[in-house]
Amino acid sequence: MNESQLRRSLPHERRLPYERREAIKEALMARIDADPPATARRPRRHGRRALVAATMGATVVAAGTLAAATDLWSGPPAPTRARQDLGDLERLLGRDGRVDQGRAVELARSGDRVLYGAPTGDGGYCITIGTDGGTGQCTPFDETSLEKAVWFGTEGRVDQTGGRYMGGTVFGRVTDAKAVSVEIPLPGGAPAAQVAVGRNGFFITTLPEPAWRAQLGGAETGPVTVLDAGGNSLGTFDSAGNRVAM
Amino acid sequence: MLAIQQQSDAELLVALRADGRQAFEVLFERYSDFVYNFAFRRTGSWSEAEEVVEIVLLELWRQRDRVVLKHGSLRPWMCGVALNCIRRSSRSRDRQHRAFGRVAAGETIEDPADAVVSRLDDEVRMTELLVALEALPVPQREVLTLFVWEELSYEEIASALDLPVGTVRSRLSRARAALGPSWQDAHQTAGDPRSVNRKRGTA
Repeated sequence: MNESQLRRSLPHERRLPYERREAIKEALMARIDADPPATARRPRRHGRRALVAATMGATVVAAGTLAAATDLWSGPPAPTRARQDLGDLERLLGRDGRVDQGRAVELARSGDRVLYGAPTGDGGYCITIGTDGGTGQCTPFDETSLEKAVWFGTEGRVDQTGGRYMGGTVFGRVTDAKAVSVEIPLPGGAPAAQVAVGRNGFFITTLPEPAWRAQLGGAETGPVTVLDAGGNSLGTFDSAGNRVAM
Repeated sequence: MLAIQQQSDAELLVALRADGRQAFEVLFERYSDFVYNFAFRRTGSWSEAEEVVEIVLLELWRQRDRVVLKHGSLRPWMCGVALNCIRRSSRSRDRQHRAFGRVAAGETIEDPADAVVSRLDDEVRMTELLVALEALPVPQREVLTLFVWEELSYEEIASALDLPVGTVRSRLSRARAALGPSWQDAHQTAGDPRSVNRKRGTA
C-alpha cells in the first residue's frame, strides 16, 4: 500500500446536500444572532487561548462509575457563561442528551483555569474549561459505565499574538475511589507534577512550557501514575490506555 | 458580497471577530464541504459528517477570538477541531458496524434514489478503508490521513494536531513503514466488494 493507492481508495468528494446545508446554516446563524455583540462580551483577562485540545488517552482500571458518585453535582454553581458553554455541548450527545444547565457546578480549579460540569438527562455528563468557550466534552450515560479509572485531555494556551505557546492545561477524571492524586511526569528530570483529585474525581492543573509541550507529546513518552492517600501507586498507565506498572 | 467572498481567511477572521455575520456566512460556504468530506473520511457516515460540520462551524464562531491561523489558512484549525469532535463523539464507537447496519436495514434518506445508493456505497467503501487502516495506531493514522487525504503539509499537520513537526515526521514515517503489509492483509479479507454486497443482502 502506498500513498497513491490510499488516496485513490477514497470515495469521491461530495457536497453537503442542499437541504441539510441550509438547515445547518440557519441553525448556526440563529446561534450567532443570539450571541451578545463583541463589545459586550466578557473581556479576556489572560490573552487568547487556543483550543488545541487533543484527547491524550483514556487510561485503564475499571472502578466506580459516574452513576455511583452521589454528590457529584453539589459544588459551587457555575457562572452563566459556563452554563451556556455546557449547553452548547449538547450536540455531542445525540438526540437523547440534554445538559441540565441548572445543575452546572465548578468541579476543579487550577489558578485561573476552572473545570465546570453538568449532568445530562440521560445520566451522563458534560464538562468545559473556563467561561470563554474553552475545551469541552461530553460522556453519555451508556459510556459512563465504560469509563476508565483515568481519562485526561489537554488545552493549550497561546500568547496575545497567537504565535507562541504559553503552556497548557491538563484536566481529567479519576473514577477509582481510592485515588487522591495524579502524578504527571515532567521533562528534564524535574519532579513530577502532583495533581490533587477532587471529591468528585475531577482534576485540573496548568503546566508551563516546556512541561506542557512534553506532556502533550506524551503518546511516546512518560506514563501517568494514580496515587492513593498513602502515596502508593494504584497503577501507572501510558496514554494509549495500557497499564505499564502497578 | 463578491468582495468579501474573495477575502483571505485571515481577513475573514478579523471580520468575524468584529461580529461578522457576513464573514461567517462566507466561511461557512468556504469550509462546510471541506469539513463534510473530512469528517466522512473519519467516520464512514455522511449523516455523522453533517453533524460534525455543524459542531466545527459553531466552534469557529465560539472560539473566533482564540483561533490561531497557521500558514494563512483555517484548514489546519478546522481539521484539529473536527478530529477532537469525532474522537469525543458519543457515537464514535462501532461506526463501521453501523454503516453496514444502516444498509442492511434499508434506511431511507430524503434524496434521489440514485444518490442514496451512491452514498450508501460510499459508506461501505469508506468503512472498508477505515477498517483496513485500523491496523495503524490512531496517532499514526491521523497523521497519515491528514497528509494523504487532506494533503496538509508537515507544518499544517503539526498545527492541526498540536504536535511538534518532528513528531509528525516520525509518526508519518512509522505509518508508511507499517502500512504495506497491513493493507495487503486487510484487503485480502475486506476488499472484495461482492462480499460487502452479500452482507448487505443477508444481514
